[in-house]
Amino acid sequence: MGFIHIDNIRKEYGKQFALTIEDIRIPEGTLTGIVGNNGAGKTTLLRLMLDLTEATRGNITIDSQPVAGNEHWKAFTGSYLDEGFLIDFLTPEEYIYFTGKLYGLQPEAIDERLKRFTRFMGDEILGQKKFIRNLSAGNKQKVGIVAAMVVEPRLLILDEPFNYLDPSSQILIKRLLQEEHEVRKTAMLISSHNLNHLTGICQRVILLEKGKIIKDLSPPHDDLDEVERYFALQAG
Amino acid sequence: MTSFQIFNSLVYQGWLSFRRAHYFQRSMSIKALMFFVAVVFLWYAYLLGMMLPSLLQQIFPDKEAHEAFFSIWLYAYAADLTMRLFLQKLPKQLIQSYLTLPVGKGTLAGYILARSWFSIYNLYLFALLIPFYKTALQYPLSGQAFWLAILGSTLLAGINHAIITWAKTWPFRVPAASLPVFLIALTALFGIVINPSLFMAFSEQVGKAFISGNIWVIIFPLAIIGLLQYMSHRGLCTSFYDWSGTTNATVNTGTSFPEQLFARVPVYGLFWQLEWRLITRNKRSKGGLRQWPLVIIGLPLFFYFDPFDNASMYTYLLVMVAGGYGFFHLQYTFSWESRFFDMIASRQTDIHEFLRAKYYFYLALGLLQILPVLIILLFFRPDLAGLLTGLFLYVTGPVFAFLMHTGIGSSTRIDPNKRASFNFEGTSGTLFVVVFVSMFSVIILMGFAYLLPLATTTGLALLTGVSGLIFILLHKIWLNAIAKHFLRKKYHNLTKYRG
Repeated sequence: MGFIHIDNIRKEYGKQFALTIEDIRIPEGTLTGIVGNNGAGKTTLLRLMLDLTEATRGNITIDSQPVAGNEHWKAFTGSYLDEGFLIDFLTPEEYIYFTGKLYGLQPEAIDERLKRFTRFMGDEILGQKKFIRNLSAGNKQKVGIVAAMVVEPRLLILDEPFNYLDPSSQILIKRLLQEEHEVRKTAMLISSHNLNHLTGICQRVILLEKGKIIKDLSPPHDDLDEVERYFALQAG
Repeated sequence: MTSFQIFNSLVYQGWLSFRRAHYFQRSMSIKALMFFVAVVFLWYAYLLGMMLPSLLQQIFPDKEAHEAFFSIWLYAYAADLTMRLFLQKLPKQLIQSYLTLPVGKGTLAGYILARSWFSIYNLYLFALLIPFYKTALQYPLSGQAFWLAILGSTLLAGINHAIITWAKTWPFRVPAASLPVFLIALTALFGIVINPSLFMAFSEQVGKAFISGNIWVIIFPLAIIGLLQYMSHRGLCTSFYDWSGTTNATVNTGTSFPEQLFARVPVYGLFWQLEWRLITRNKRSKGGLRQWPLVIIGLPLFFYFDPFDNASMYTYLLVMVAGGYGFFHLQYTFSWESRFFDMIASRQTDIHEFLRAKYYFYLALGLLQILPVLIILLFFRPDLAGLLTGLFLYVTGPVFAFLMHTGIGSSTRIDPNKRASFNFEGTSGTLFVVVFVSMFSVIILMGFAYLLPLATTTGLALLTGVSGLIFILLHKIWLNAIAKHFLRKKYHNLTKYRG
């Protein structure tokens, strides 16, 4: 049994099929990338893992306990999928402190942990006296990612974390994720459209297409060029 | 954090979301006007509450004022339930942000239920009831009777609140929604059709039982409220997936009858189709449009039971409904489409044509909306039907011109998909003022109507009708002026739309 076990899961929206996965086990401390084209089922998979949508059948367990109808996983999981997860009438500081407090962190500890995100956040987020709703898309993305990471979770789930970020921030977040994984052995699930973002940091890359897993690769043993060739073939 | 601490944080954040809402971030004029509106509303309610005892005694001369009131208060709460069924919402917009954080679903559900009690629907009746009970109970009877009547009204409002909350949170919506519908139908059946006098006697007994301090009429509603709230909590906990923003909504596109119809209209059809899709596919505009059936039913009903029998008293309120949906919509001219106005501005679109299409659309929509009301009124209040016709022409003429002209000054982006009954996002204080200017402009005409050798209502109908008709006939002139004004502001507005 892996730290995360996806067992015979299927999701349908009405009559429309969205995702089916027979059996996937992800050990603790693994950095897993999920790639796929639009509509491949990446976000659906992450939403199922966060108990935000109900599976048509099957179940997902994290740390040997089912996710659905259970809230134990929340205590050690940090996540950010999209700006719907931000409390937009708070300032970034208020949001990050609130999130930290929910995980039992004191403000001083949060301040200390925030130091390592200083370069990533730049000077347009903290201390700006702006509500989150008034930040740019890129800065909202940064707030969501930082709030998910600052609690130092055992499991980190991020959906398209590179979206909206400028090139420097993309490089920085890649470094931060790598560091988080190396130092704390955090298990991570990161989805992306862009294979280049996941190359070099992921120990495992799952390729989803039309709701099904079509490749499950473990670089460097497996050649990620295969995935690139697959996408090129899809593009014609 | 303990559940209690989390609950407190949620309450504090609820307060922050209210205090930091867009309309509070706007200018002082908005805040001042909101305060003014609240004071006017409270003042009206207070006056009505003070006058209610004498009005009731005119209608029921053989009863004391409080007896007369209690004999009809169950009807009032049935009407309140009907209104809540359509309009009362749960404060659910905040939930998604918390779902992946270590906050128990039970705590969240408890918070949602607790917050839902701070609803205007639970408070508005008290603006009228407090002065009424003071006049009809405290002075003639006792202070205790006053407080017991307040308690009774609170419990009845509480039952309505609990019913609606349950109906809107229970996972099986059809049986849940059937409860309020059943209760409303039951009241209508017994209270209007089968035996109104028996129903009124029962209603009166309930009221008297409250002010006599009968413990059972207090325990029974409390038990119902408790049970329904418990079930709502259970319902919320089991239906969280509906709240988490996971939708795979598909829509029927391009097949509705109006859309097909608009597609055939030469010149303006394309713009009409766009306007129709804009207002029917966004929460905020759709919500406003959906309230019109209530106006069509409610307005004639109100005038049927109108105790004052003096149409001119309501004239400035009628201004708000006489022009149909356009009165609320045109003050945001261009703000609604601010999210895609770059596209319109960069395509081969004649802005004069675009504005004309918009104007004709809301003129036609207003006519469609007001026509059923006029037809109903013709049967029992032809004087009002005449006044409403005059006001329709007045609103769709000079008032629409005024709204559209000031509306193009709004350069802030509006999110039509955000729903709020008192949401002034995307507007400036000026735009809020224009609504009041439009309403009170009729009072000036009313002054002139007094000078005419006609009944005030007829004179006012004539003045509003003629001035409205002149503006409608000259619409091309003022619409062109508005278009020119917009083109002068185009770059400024387009920059602001980008936020």
